[in-house]
Amino acid sequence: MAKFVAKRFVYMIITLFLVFTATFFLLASIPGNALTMKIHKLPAQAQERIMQKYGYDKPAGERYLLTLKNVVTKGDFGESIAKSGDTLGSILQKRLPPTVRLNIQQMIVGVTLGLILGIIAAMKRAKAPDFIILIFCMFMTSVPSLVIALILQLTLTGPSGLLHLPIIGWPKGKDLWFGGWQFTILPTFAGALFYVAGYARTTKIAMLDSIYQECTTTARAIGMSETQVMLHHVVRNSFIPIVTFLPGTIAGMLSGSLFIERVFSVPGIGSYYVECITQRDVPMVLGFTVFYSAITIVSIFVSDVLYGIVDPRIKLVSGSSR
Amino acid sequence: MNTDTVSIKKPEDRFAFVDQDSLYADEITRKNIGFWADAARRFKQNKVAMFFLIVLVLLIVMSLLGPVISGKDYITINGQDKNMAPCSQYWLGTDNMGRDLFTRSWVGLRTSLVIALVAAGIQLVVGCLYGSIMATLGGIVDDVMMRIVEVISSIPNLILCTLLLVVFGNGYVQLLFALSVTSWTGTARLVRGQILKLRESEYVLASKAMGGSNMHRILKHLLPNTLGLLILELAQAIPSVIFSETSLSFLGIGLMPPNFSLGTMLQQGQSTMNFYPFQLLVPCVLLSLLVLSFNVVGDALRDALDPQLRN
Repeated sequence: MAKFVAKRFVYMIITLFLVFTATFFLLASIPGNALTMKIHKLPAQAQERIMQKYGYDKPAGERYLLTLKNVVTKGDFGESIAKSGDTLGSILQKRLPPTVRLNIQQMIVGVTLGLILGIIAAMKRAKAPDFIILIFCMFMTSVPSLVIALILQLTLTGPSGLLHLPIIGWPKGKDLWFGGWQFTILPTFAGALFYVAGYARTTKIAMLDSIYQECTTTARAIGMSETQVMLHHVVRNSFIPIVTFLPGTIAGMLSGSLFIERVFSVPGIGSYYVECITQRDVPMVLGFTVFYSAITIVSIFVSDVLYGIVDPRIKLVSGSSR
Repeated sequence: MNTDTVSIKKPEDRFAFVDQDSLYADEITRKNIGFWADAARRFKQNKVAMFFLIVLVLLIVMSLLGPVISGKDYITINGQDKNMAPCSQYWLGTDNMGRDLFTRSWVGLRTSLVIALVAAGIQLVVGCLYGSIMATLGGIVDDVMMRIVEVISSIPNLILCTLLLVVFGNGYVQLLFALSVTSWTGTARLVRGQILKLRESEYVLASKAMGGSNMHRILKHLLPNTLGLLILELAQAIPSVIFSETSLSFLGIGLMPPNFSLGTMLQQGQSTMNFYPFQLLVPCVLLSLLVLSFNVVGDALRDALDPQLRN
């Protein structure tokens, strides 16, 4: 187990390094960036000096080594070239809380609802609740969360909306982590509904699989109550496929936060990243790409380890056994 | 052996003619039909899927014929007809520049559809080639190629797409490239796994033992057994590409004016939604209907192609 974890960890570091390198050279190959756009009207001398200040007078290879050194030693991806003063660290500090809160809320709502619906569907299979849940899931996976977000915003917000919720915005100050629910409820549901469908399906399939296993039959035969059978054998065995679903959820939420934050004007990192992209803010785009990938890679790593803990039958042998 | 000692009776004495029909009359048999005919038969039994297949065909036909029916083009700007509600002249109203929404919706749908089909096609071809190369060569090549897949799939899909669009600029070709770069890794893994599994299977061994050629094995065993999976992969890829494309266009990173798709229309619709909800609802409904019908048809295909559900 320790060997497996160590091996996966080394792979994780290598992957991150590769992502960093590839992103850096991809971005270095763009002819123009935010800086050239900003300074192209200045006299040549001033242009040169500004380029020097941000280090763009050096060839890409040298810049790469310099950036790599700064990233490894200080975690510093360089200063934003579109908005002077912004660094990845300062932006994360300022903008991470809304994104994290939104994602946690989405996860809690989405996973819980999904698990409950999946368990109901499996226990009442081929009866009315199962069909209703099936249709609901089909609908939810088919309507893009972007559309759900827009429809929710159109129908429920504003003075003419059904719930008079605020159209956009996010709680500030002491409500940053807890409170200000009228702002957070719609973004949460818009993002969560997609996961509800995914989790309900996975849970249902996994539960149906374990309902027909011998250990379940045996448990019934020795006289365990139906609740006990469900909790100890069926639900527990169904956790394996659900755990494998988690890293995808986290990655999906990161991508999802891009447009959910845009729709509801949440001041999170997703909306900032989109700004960086449209302004070609090279250092920030580099920093955010590595940051996003790091989160995904770490969640894949954690789920690999969890996989081994949840299911003792799985032998952790080789790196590519996923 | 002495043939003289064997006495041969007339066959009529010992044998009687039997009518084959009456002999097997009480045995219930089904006409022997192939895998694809069976799958098609089961797909046709699924009424919901057939309904959505018709919806899908209608959407595709309308995306081609819609602009012709309304008789308007999608770029003419009518200054005095801005933001009109649906009426007899403009069936679904007009947008903030006075362009006919009915025509624009179908053209936007066509763009989204074409992008989705091409990107999904590229994904399948690249994934197949890559996966089969991995599985065939094996060893160190397989290891290195698998690492590359892992690196690419560890960057969130939309993030990599946006990054590539920044690097290569906006436009149809760039968008297609960005969408396909991220999506083929799953297909490659799937194909690799399937080929590795099939190679170990007994009927491939039997084919080898009986002296079947390599080409014969690929055409008769590997390909048909992977085709079902690939059709499903295609059915899943199309909605996800549509989804990515609309998200990117909505964020203003995908297609740039004058090019537009349903995603761009969603973005325009959102900016005016409190006053002219129609401009948001039309692309929303079309998009959902499109993805829904692809999903339902894909699900039904999965059920129809799954050999375990055969009865």
